[in-house]
Amino acid sequence: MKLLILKSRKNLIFTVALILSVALLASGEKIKLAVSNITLKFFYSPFFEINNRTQVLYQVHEKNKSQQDQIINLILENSSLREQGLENQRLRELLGYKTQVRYKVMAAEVVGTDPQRKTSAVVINIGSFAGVKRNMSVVNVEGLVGKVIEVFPTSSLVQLLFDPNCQVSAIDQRSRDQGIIKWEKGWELDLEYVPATADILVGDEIVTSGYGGIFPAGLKIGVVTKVIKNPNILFQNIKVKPYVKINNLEEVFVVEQERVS
Amino acid sequence: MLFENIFYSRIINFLILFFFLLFFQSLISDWITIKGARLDLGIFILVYLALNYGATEAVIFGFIWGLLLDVFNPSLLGLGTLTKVILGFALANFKSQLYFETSLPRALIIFGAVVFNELIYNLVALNANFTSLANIFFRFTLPSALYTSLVGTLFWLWRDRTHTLKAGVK
Repeated sequence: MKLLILKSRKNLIFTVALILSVALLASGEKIKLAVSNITLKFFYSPFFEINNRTQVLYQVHEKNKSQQDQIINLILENSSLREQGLENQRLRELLGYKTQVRYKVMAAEVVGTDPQRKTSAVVINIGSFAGVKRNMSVVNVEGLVGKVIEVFPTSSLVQLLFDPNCQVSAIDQRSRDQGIIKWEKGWELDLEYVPATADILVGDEIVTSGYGGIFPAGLKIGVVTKVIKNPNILFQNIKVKPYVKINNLEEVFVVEQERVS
Repeated sequence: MLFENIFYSRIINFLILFFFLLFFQSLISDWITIKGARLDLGIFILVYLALNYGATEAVIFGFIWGLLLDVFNPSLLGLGTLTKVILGFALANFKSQLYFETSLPRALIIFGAVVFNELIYNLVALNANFTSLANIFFRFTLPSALYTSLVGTLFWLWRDRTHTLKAGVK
């Protein structure tokens, strides 16, 4: 009798569990979602919380590790840069450099051409009120345009490279041979006073040398298109095609050099 | 009083067991899954309870554990409980006809239980799509069944040895 009760109890539990399972399976989505939400919230949420926190801690740990690597790299880079800075300072002192040059640019628009000088000068819309001074160089995104020769309160006159009086101290970016950029005629410039022994090739880029004190060093002027070497003449005849399109000048920048100790 | 003590101790044991299983499922399970082979600790415990205790324990455990797993796929809520309840009840009822004193039959029983549980569940979940079922079977079910049976058998062996040692000491 006892065995029968135990057996029937076992069967009863099985039947109830079976009916409940089938009932859950056959129930609507809302009931299923509600049961799932309650069960998840009640039973799993503490473990999920532990899991989340562990993962966050692990991520923080990993991030910390990678950031420490970055910090060490930055510290090393910083100390190397400091060393280089000090070395630079020492070398500058040895070479007798007392000043460093910083640049400040002022945007301007070309508003007209000087009627007397035809194409060799243009008028820009900023002047002394904006801080423009004589001999400041003028550039655009293509390269060197010219220099300021006259300053008015709200406008300035810019002498272009295509002015016979404009001379720019220049250097071959590859060979470091120096010369003077001048214009005589046509749409190309001349690189003058380059010795016959200098290594200038067609295609070399010519930039400002900065030696004249007016134009900052490294401004792009143009590219060498022709090199004529004559053994009987002391200097080479070099033609340079300027990067700047003089006919299309619209927006330019006036460069102010600031010399700091 | 004795009955009450036994009753409460069983409830407490069950609570500890579920706490451990929830802990395992939430925090450890993913870490010890090897290329799709998942350790189905729940099924192993179900088999162990069914063969060593009885149908009541196995059915109750199967129902609760099935429900706790089903909540991750609410549209099939009840399916996991159903398969585990049937599995627990069947194993407990037919244990007299099963020989499970050595490792190999135990491993086979655990293997079969995992395969049965997964097959029935996936058969319904995949609307009897046999191509997908075969794919899942070879990629996940079979490796999981092998993994669980291996771990389960090792645990069973360890348990037998500790019991034998304790009996020897007594």
